Amino acid sequence: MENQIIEPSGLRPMGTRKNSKVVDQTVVEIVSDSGEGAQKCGQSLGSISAKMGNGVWTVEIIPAEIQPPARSREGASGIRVRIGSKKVTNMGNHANLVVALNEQVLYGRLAQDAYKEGTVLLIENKWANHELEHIRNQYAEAITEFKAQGLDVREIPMETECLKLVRDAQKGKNMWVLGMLCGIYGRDMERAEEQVRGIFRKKSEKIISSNLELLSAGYDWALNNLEFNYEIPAMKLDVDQVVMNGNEAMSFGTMAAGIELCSMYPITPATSVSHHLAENFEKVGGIVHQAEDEIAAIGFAIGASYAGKTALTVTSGPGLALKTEFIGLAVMAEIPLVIINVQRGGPSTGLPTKVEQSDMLAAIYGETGDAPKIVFAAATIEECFHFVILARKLAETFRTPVMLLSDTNLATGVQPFPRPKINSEWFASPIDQSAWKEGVGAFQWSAETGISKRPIPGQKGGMYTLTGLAHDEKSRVAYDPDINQRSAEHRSRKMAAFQQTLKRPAINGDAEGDLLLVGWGSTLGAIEEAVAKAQEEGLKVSSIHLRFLLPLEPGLKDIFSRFKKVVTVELNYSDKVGDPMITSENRRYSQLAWYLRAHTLTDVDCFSNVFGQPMSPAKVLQFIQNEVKK
Amino acid sequence: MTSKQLETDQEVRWCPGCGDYSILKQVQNVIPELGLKREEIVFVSGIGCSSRFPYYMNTYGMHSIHGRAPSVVSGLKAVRPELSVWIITGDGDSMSIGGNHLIHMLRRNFDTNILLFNNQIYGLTKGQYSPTSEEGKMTKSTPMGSLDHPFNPAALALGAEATFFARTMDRDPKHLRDVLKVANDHKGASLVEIYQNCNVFNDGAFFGMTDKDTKLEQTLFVEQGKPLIYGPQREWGIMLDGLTPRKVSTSEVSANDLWIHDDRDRVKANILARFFGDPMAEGNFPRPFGVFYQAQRATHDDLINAQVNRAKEALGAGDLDKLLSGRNTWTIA
Repeated sequence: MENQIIEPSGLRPMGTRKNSKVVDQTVVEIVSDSGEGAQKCGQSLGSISAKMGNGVWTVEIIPAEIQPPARSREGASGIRVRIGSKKVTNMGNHANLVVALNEQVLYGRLAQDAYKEGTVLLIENKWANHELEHIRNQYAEAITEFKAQGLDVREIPMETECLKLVRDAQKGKNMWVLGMLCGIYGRDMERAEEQVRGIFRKKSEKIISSNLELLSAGYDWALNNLEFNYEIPAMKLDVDQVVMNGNEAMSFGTMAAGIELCSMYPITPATSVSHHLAENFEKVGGIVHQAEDEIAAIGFAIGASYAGKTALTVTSGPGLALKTEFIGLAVMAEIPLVIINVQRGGPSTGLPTKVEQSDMLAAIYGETGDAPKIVFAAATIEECFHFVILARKLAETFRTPVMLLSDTNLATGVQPFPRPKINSEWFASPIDQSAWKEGVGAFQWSAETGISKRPIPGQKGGMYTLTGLAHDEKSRVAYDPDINQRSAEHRSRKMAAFQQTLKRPAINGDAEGDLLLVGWGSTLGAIEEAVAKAQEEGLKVSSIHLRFLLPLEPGLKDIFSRFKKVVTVELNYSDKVGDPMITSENRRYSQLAWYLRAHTLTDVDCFSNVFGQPMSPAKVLQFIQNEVKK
Repeated sequence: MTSKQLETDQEVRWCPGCGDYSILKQVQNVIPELGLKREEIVFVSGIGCSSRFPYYMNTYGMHSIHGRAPSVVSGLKAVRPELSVWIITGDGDSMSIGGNHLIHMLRRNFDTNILLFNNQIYGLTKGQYSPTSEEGKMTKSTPMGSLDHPFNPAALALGAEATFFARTMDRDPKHLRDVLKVANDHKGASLVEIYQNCNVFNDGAFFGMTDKDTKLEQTLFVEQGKPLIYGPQREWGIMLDGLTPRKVSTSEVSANDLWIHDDRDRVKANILARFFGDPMAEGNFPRPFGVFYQAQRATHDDLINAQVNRAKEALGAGDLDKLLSGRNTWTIA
């Protein structure tokens, strides 16, 4: 479609690459004030690298405000890009190189331990000669401090270089930086030009060419002025690849699932699922509906589903809380529905732009009364695509709401994966409007599985009133105490019937040992990288990663029993014994640990935090080392 | 279809003497005249006494959750515009807990009929003041009297860009039937406010307007193209002096000079909606009944489907494989 072939433009960089150092992976950050295009720059670097055959993982650094004051420490906006020779599954540890458009935005990242001694800092030097004295002073102090902390500081005339080509350096500096990074890391400039043309495809040719010039200039500047540059050898893959973030993957998954309607209310970080969807959904007959509130968004989806269409609603924590009553109705009235919850930090408004995995128990137990429904979680961006298809199928097969969990890390992280080939079996079958069989109730539960078939409005002879009240097989309101018990049993039995179809989770490592880590969701890559390193060190550690949370995958108790210690790794809160007031009796466990303890009667411990940052392999490795030594 | 066929085997569980019985009966009487198939009719309700209505209609139905029926119906109509969908709601359900959904349903104008049973009280929870209860209402939750100023449903609807508003009452079966028919004919969201007596918790709230002895004095039945005349002897009329309504004697002013009802006139509808004070108080007007306002505006259901068709035409029906091999796909050789 937009895959334009680039004609040789004469703008191709002239600099030559000498003495490149080969590395198998690197971590780059670009940090700036909000609105300076750091994320676009980093996503592009990631995309170019993925297309060259490198493994890639990106993590966005997003302030809570849209336009925080310029040069403010808390306003740092940016992106981390990890590029590797092999598949990259997580954000890595300390950055090897950081580009900063001002010095203030670095303080927050330093406090978060994002850099280490020797991390190269390429910083915009225009502040050194700023007209305001206090800014000049701030800059000078910061440079001294960064050097003292061991950063390899290089002051770069970014603005000056951009102004040679454009009148307003604020517009386009990110493309110059992209060029510089392409120079440093030996990126394919044809891919880079294609990327830039893609970004500005809706703009004039003049804008495109000025951005291409900035890109080339950045590339040349790096080769002519920096004494280092790198090669990151790529993989040879013969299958088509796509590169996208988790929210995009979910929107494509929605279309591939044959879902016909998505209703939502804007909420970070879930909203962009519907944006990506809206770009193409109507072409395949789908509808995106922006409702008046979170409650109406799920009500809309329930109305459509009741009418026989497959529907999706997408939200994040606070929205999930508001949807609870309707989810209960969907469970009680057995309405198939896909609910995507892209988790963020909580409770309340919490950390709206940061990652957490703290909605797990709310997803499983949020409703009043006994409300069993299927809850599962994607662990990779590729799963964000395929799990929506699975969710739709499960919802219809088991006539139930299905909750699919993702999080900020997956939502905004960009990763390549093999291009899915659309399979017509993924789509929902059309509504059956043949006459309803006389005498069959709207909830004719199978005694064995609890599953029943539902009549759809328009279907002759199927008239019934769907209700949130306890009801019998014919959907008549229960006045007999036995009915509620019986219907609850059937709804619960569906979960058991589904559980019987699940496989035991695969064990990453030996099936027995000193330590088993148990994870779920986006921490997969960090856990597995840490476990691999620990295994290399000879430590007897393995891991499993759960996808299904309700019902839980089978065999857990048995798997746990073969390890001396079982610990969950999670991005949600837990108390630490030894902290003030905290005892082994009153200690609150993280969510998965709590859940697994109850489920398996195993003494499952937890390693968890709520810093709002993705889990890093180094932190997990350090934990493993301490734990096994104990 | 007969009205008998619309009855279900469910025992009707409203209190004996409740105004809901009359509304149920008239709905069952009107529907067979509308040329619909039973399986193509859906009654959706929220929570409250009135919201048990779907159980008693042998059609498709949904007893959803408190206040949210309009959101369910929006989704239903968006994907199945051919169905005849009716919302059954009460004053608490639609204007308190579900106020947000009501106003958005009205502005979006999905093609549906909304029957608002207004009894000015919470009945199912045994007698608390509602958003339409009068100021000073003494209830279990307001033993010293409610401090809240009530909603004026007609003004609320018109303010929310409704394309149809009518008022009728449980105790006038013929008028109720007539209004339901016009409401159903209207393409768009038709809001019908029905004054309904709760004989247990708010008995007689509307008796002045519904009892034979006082009805003619306190009410004004508007009809399209007819002058606004009321009174036991039809001795009173309403005139418009600019935008100011005046009560006049029909013996002094000829019918041609009175306000002639035009339900397409938004300005007049807004004035009519303000006839909301106690009809017996000095200087107040009688309470209007009938179709205040109806306007043609594209329905949301039609707009959605037209947009989907436009998208398919303009862009070519979507080929998902093509989308997935778009800008961000490549092969690494």
